[in-house]
Amino acid sequence: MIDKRYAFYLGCITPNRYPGIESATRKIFGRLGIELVDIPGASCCPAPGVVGSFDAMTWLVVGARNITLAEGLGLNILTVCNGCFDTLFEVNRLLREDSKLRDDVNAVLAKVDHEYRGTVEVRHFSEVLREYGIENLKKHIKKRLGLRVAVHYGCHLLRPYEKKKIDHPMVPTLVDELVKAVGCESVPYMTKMMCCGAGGGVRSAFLKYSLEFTKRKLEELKKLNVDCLVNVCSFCHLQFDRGQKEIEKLFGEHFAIPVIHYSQLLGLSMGMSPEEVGVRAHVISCDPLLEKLTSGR
Amino acid sequence: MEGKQVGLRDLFSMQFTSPGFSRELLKVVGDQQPDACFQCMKCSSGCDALKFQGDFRPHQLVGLARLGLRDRLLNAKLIWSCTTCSYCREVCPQDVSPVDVIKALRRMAVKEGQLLEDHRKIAGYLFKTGHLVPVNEEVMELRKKLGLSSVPPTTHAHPQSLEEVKKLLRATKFVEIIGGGGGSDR
Ligand code: SF4
Ligand code: SF4
Repeated sequence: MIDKRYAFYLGCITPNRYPGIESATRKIFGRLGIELVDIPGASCCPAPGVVGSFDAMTWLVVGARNITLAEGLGLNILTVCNGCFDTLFEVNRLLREDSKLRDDVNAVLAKVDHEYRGTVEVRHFSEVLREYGIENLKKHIKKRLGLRVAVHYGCHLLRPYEKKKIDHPMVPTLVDELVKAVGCESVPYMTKMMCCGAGGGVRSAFLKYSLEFTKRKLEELKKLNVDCLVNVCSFCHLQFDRGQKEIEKLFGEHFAIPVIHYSQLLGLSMGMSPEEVGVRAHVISCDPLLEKLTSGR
Repeated sequence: MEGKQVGLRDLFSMQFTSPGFSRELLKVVGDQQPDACFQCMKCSSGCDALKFQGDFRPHQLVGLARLGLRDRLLNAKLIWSCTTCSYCREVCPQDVSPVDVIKALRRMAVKEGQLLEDHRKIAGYLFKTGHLVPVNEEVMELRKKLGLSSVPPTTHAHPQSLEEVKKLLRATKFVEIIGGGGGSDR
């Protein structure tokens, strides 16, 4: 069942690098009549492949603290970044499944007067939108966008399937359905399920190597002449948007493919201005795409 | 991997597992099952990291882990080449979850003080701000323009909460792991 209110978990990249995604998300859910409640004092999730690769207990207790804050609000958690989703979902699952682990974590949390109880769910906004219903979603759409887009799912929304059970981990349709709902064509492509390259601490440690992944995908998209890449993860979003500039510097290749988070795409189709959803603040200019929208081609 | 390669035949010898090392690996949180690996290489066949970094082969890391070749594994900068995309976990017929094996190996390496300098740096931000990626002046301006609070309602706006996070990071010895509360401002 879809909730009337969710605890809106922000994470790091969304509020601190791409606040347009935050503002678009707040607005689209407002239009749908779903209230997003802030989680005061939330921290980094912390990142699954980074902190999760450093120390398991740290990853668990900091993640569990964020979950307890939502438990305090009595609300399920909504995320707009696959990394945040992965950490909070997995921490929640592990602590529910393993009572010994939960006791260990709670022993640490007791130092700051928190207790993990396992009373809330962790959701990704794309699955919440699917639950809201594509037909119901369409009722809020003012403008069919008519763009040719390349969907990038990102790895941590879907995997591991056995635990998350959101959609097929190799041939998903969830986000394709969502882009079709706003009148866009989802262009099939070979490297669709390939990783953006940013995860696992790779971006911070080996930038050039991490951009090889990004570049490989962009090379294919350039040939396909898509209007933009649509993602559902703030970290993938950063890798593709900032990454294009870094690729120019490190490899001398130029792509100029606009990068849009689905919350922003939905916002535009609901009639919000480019400024409201923050797309003018991206590194890669979205102007070609916005012109296409206003010319109503 | 630099130096000697472990051949397919060596890795195939199922009897040479190192139970001690495997047990150590299994103690770490995750779904890793290195002993079940039969070296079919399905994980490596679709691993994108391998495409760009040919020395990196998840099936080989799992094989080395089974053999308990600890030094070969933990000294390898290779363990940090995995983007944790979890493709390997999805396709493994033996439920090994190579990605979890790799993450477990990383934690062992970190415990032994092998943390890459860039990782140490971002870990420092987590301790200092509660965020691996903290806000900056430019983004604060942008937030205002978008009608958002200039500082997000996270640890950034709640010093008490940041203190909580710091307390937790001290309790788990994360601060020691990363070598003090480092992290320069950016
Ligand atoms: S897919 Fe599984 S069983 Fe096959 S080599 Fe990789 S880890 Fe081993
Ligand atoms: S999780 Fe790591 S090892 Fe597994 S397929 Fe992805 S990059 Fe390769």
